[in-house]
Amino acid sequence: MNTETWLTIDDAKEAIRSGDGRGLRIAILDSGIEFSHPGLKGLEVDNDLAVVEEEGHPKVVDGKGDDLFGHGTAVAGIVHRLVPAAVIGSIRVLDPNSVSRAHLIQEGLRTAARLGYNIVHCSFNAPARQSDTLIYQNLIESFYLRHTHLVAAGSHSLYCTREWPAHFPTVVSVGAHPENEEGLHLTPVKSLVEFASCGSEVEALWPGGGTRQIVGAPFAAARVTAMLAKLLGSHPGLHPLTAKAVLRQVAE
Amino acid sequence: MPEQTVMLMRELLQRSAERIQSGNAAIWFRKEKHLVPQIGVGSHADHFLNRFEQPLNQGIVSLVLASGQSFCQNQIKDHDQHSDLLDIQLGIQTDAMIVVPIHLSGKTMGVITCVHTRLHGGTEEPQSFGPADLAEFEFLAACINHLILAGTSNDTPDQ
Repeated sequence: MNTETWLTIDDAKEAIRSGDGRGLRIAILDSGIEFSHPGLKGLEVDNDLAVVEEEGHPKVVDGKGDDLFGHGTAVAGIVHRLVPAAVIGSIRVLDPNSVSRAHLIQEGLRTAARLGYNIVHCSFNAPARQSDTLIYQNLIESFYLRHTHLVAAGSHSLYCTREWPAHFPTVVSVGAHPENEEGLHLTPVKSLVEFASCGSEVEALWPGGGTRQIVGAPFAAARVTAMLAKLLGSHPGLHPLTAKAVLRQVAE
Repeated sequence: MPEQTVMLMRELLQRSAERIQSGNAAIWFRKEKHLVPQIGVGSHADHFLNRFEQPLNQGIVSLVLASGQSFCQNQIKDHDQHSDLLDIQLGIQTDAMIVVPIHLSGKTMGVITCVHTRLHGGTEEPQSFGPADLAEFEFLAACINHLILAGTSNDTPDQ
């Protein structure tokens, strides 16, 4: 007997309207998170990790509450604001001194899977090198089989090069809406980055305790991560493809 | 890179900057531990092209190089921690910046920037960028990617 969870569009809209992410664990793979930021007060932190390069190999170490660029703190701020009851973990995978980004990102994804997160948010995009494709594919498939939901930021540009993980069909890929529309929208062109949301944040949290006015796909993706967390909070057994189909149905 | 490719890139950069009403834009490439602006348009270009080096662990340009994600920041002067190395050198203040990555052969090899600036201490209202401006430069980056690929190809047209 098929016991998979399903929900109506009205149920989904209500969950997105009223959910707070309770019971959900979200991993943010980015530049790290400054958990001491005043804007993250009340946030329940799960893990604070960093993937670094040691003698040419990736190694998982303590993140120490460091955000190397500011990006991750801004994303965490958006997610926490929209789903304040969700638990957030940080896995820093962006390192300015790393020659190759792909193997750090891959280790970050493996770590997130191993720690059993419900949602993994990826703020980055790695250009799709042929040598990495199978590794990414295996990782994305393992997420799918574990029912771990993956949200990735991506570009809506029709002519951009392929990027991982955003261009895998089982990933919820999100770009910045060109007119800054709030809510969830479908991309008007045929693109593997299927969703759009507002990518502007007037007071994005930034390291040092301050804020900045920023625009970008990762901040649109953060909003959709929060929407997904609201959905899963009220319907925990939702399959990744079902969740993505529901998001497509509720999108404008 | 062939000179014709560089000229075409500069022309595309100029047109995209004009389309979003910006005066200054540049294409930066990674050079060891720095990003170096090598192709540019606007009043500042001659003063910093191939003369300035941004460390890879500082600034928005380095963030975009590391993340592979486009980024835009407005009201820059209202926030500390902005890497103002170049502003100081040019005697200007940057009000808003767009940065998009350039990919080639599976690597993020550089970035394209576009800025709104004023003279240091200027009192006019600061300008800003929006998502549509970011999208314009993402399209530009896609064109630049293909140009670089074509420019470094060994194929030559039949005579």
